[in-house]
Amino acid sequence: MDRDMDRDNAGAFRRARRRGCPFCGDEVVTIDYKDPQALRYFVTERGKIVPRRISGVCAKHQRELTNAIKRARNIALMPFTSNE
Amino acid sequence: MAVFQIALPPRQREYETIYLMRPDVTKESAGKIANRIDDVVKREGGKLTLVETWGRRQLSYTVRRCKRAVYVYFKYVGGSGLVAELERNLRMLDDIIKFQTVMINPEIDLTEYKVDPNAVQFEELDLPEDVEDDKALERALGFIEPQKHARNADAYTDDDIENISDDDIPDLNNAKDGES
Repeated sequence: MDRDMDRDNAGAFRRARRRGCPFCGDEVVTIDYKDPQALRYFVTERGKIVPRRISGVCAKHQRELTNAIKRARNIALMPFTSNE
Repeated sequence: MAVFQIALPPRQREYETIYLMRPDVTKESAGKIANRIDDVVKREGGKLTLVETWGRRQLSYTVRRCKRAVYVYFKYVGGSGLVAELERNLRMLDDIIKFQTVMINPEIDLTEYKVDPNAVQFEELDLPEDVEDDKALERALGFIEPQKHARNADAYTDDDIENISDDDIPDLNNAKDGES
């Protein structure tokens, strides 16, 4: 009984609506390594890059995003890692 | 077989560079760095198109024992040799702790490029003195004595505090009633 309920709940959770790539629809939103505030949305609290299966970013923009985050890290605008 | 060589002008590309100066950099030193960059760009046949001073910023991690740095950003157009020469110069300067160059446009036509002459001037650095408090965290956690307020520290000594009589201390309870 419990197991059935768990399975139902898990199914409901998995069926959450998938959001599209935030950069594809909106031409105004650009990926820029000089804007760490905008990039912060795509890294975890520890400073790791969020995988696109979580953030929903398309492959092309994930590549650009990864590049931008790495550039921002290199010039100390973003942390490589954070223990806070 | 005759080989014709056509002398093409060197390809012009657009680059942007960010360099970080020590937080305690003097105005004169920052000016010298700016002049040197200007000279190198001109000497190598390049052209500055934008210069911005972002000011003193908190770094995400310590760089050469600095927690903060003065950021300067500039864009320029030039050939392939310019970046190498510029970076060689930046590496030599002691006040520069980090720099990064990124190519923005692989081919650019300078005739169609409009540059605002005011935007390519390096700003004179005029920042308030850097007061980096390295022990702020320890102080906040109570591991070391809290910082004395400068005004109070000058005004009273320990002897003064011992010599305070009861008359010097205002009776706050009565005063409160009287005032209200």
